Amino acid sequence: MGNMTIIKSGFYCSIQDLGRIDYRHLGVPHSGVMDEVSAVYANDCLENEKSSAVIEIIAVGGTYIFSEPTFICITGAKTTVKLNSIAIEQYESIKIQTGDQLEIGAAVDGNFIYIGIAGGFEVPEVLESRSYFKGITKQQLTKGDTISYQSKKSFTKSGVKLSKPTGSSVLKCFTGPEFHLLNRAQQEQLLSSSFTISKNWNRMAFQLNEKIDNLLLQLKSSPVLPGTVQLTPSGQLIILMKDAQITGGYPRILQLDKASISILSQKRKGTSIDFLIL
Amino acid sequence: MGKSEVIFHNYNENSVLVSWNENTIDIIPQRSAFEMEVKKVFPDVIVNHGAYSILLLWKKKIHHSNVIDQLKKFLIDIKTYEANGISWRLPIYYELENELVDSLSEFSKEEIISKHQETIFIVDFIGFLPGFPYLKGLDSSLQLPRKSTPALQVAAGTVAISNEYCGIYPSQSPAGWHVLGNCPLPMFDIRSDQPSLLVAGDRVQFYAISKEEHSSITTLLKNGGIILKSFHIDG
Repeated sequence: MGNMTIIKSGFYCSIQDLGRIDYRHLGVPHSGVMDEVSAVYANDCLENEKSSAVIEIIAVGGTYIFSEPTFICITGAKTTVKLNSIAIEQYESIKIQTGDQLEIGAAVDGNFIYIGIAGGFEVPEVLESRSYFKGITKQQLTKGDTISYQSKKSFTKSGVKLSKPTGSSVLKCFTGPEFHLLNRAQQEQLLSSSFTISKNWNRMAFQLNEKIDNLLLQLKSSPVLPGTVQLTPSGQLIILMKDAQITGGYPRILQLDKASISILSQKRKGTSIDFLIL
Repeated sequence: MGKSEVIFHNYNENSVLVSWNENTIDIIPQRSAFEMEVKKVFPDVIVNHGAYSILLLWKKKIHHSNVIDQLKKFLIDIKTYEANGISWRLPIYYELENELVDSLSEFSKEEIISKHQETIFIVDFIGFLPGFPYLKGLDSSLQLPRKSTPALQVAAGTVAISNEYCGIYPSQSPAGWHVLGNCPLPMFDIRSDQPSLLVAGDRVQFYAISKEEHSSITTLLKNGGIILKSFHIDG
């Protein structure tokens, strides 16, 4: 059994997998990786299960040391990655030897960086998932923490071609349950203008800068999912993400498809997006 | 038997939202019966309840119109809406906050407590926090809007009311609801096979306990001196 030790922590560094899907009836949020496409790429590249646990880091990478040989793959936001001070590629499997030091810099494009490891990081499962969520799991990773993994000395790639995530600005949507309550002008405004990501974004939600005229009343607490676009009384749009609560009281005007949630997660403050109804 | 209007909505590639268009407490057992029918045919379906609604999620993409045709049939097939949840008697140490007493100044503290204790609540859904029950049925004379400034922190077990709901905070949390008192039972325990004490469709009636009884129940629950099942009405 190997250990990866955090020498210098990234910002909001946490263990994530595909989330806690079966406990919504008990009020438990989804959690899990924000950019599923990038995290699954790392696991596919290492020939792991898609649901293997990865490390998710927001914007600033950190420094890590490995105690045993293994293979890793760094995906997600574009950043600089060095192994023992030598630059290495993202989106490729990288061989790790005992004592190797991995240094990940600040993201230059995108928000969420992923570290995948052969076999996945080994932390206890809680409610069938390893994803960090306050009050459900223990780990939010900090300096000095060690995370276990199975050591692996050799790895023969089957050579399956993987396709890297693309950076489209179009978010594909279903109409939300309250979309029909918007008038023609509001629908037009929503679908024909561009919106930009505000400075308020996190694992719970991304807020947008531009407002739309809103006369809709609030709802009773109703089911919501990651990707639900809510319209607040002030006319602001809030797009719920993986750590969002399971119910919400704002009108649900759009619902992003799964791939678009991954795309949105990597959009930085000020970036422009458009909604397209499927 | 009259059935209320039901709306189906294609929520995303693998889910359907089913909403009841009527604001009555009778919807909850009807929704529970519907959910049981759905699970007979789709045992792996994931459910996300909300007020008078249920979001059904499949693990793979679905053909919405085929699924909705089946769901409509399940609604027709429901013959009875009998309660199928657990009935609970939950202890509460009443300690009404001043703001609540002031807002309901037409009633004495004793009147507020007795109205709350007389009500048989039904769990509409679990939301806000893991294990936080939205208990439907609050006496209309006790209904208040949310606080304009939430309390920064209330303790785990805090029983509070807002609009038509009574809720119980499973863990320490900021709180926008008006505090009535505290229930010593753990509302959410990840070590348990059934992590949330209550689930949608359960019924709840509160009974008053003293501060001393509150702490002895807390101790007994910790050392295994009483089991949660002893708070079931038929249990």
